[in-house]
Amino acid sequence: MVHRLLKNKAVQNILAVCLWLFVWQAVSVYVDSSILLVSPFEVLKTLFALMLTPGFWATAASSSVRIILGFLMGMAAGVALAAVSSANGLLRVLLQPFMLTVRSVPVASFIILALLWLRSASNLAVLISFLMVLPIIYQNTLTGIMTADKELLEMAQVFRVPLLRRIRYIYMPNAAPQYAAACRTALGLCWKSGIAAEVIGITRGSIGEALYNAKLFLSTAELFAWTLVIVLLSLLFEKLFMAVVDGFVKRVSGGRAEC
Amino acid sequence: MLKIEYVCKSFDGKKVLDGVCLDVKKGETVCIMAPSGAGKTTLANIIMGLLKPDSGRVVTAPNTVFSCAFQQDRLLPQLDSVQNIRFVNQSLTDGEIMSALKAVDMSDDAKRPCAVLSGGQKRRIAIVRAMLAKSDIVIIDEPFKGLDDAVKTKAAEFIKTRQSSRALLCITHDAEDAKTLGARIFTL
Repeated sequence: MVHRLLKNKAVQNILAVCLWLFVWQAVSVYVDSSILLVSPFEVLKTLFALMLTPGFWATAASSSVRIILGFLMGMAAGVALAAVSSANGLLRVLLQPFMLTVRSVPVASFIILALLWLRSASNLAVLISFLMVLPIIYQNTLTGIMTADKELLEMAQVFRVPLLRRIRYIYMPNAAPQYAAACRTALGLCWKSGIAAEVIGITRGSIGEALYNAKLFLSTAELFAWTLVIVLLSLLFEKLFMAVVDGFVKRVSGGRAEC
Repeated sequence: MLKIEYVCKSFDGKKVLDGVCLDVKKGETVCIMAPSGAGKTTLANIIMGLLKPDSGRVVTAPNTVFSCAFQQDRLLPQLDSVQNIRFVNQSLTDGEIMSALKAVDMSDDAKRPCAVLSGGQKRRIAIVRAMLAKSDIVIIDEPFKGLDDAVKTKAAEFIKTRQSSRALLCITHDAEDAKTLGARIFTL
């Protein structure tokens, strides 16, 4: 019975989490300093206390909206640019150094530059999130489009199949899995970089500002609690968004529909 | 309907086609015959505009539309037979497609994705797709590859009944195929 339970993937995951929580608790007891490391129970207690404060939900919502907005804009721009540049070699060459630069420049440099360029830090997370997502979505979607089956494209050319049907049934099934993989990578990155932007820019009423204040007042419990909020929000958004994307991939890769 | 004039094509310095000339009339069936590797498919690709000849030219009437059963079938793996056929001709009804598939013994597997079909089944769908597409010239590359005799007869009968006034080019290395289709033989 126990042996069978241990083979269950969900049970394995829960046990792994419990193990790390135990390690965390043990280390916090050993360190015995609420400034250096608080216990998981202390973090949960602080989180529940924070949730009862009036500004908590507004803070969480404002950061989420900014980061998700940046993500959606980066995704839309990435897909659109990939689609256009797949058909235009010159644009592809022109965009390559830009995308490479955006991908390689440290996020902190972008944040500081954006702080100089933007009048206020309120939209900083949107811009940073957008910049982190754009090259990933662009590159993967472009690769997906460019690696579409040449023989199928020739077949469509001979039969004079309209472009929209070629996109739907040849390009999209090839690009969709790569696009989904890019979304998965970009989702994690946009939360990390978006929050980093809020911390450096001290965006008013944001999670980043709350983290900054926690550091300023040496409130490690709050720092951990807000970090937990970020992890939970990013996981929630990732699950919801990826459910939609996976459904889309399944639909375009599986046929049926209107053809 | 189709005029091939002194078409030459080389790959890496090796001459594959050397001054090929052919004239195909409306409603005519021609088998282009040659051993494997002699440039039959290259010629088909030149005729359809997928390859450019080094010299010579292919003349067709303006707005000539081709349809083709490619040697590698080139079916969309995620779609079933009906969807693959409708991909090239949206005006076809389910009934028209099903009756065509029935003629080549494929109606039972019509709703299965092409990725899971056998080579012979894919071949038959490729033939049906080429014959049901709106076209002026039909090209069928190695039409009966992987088909047993009984199915081959049905596929040949289907091709003949659906040809109507279109020119049909059959590319093969097997003289038997030309005989089955009652075609004029053109040797490369």
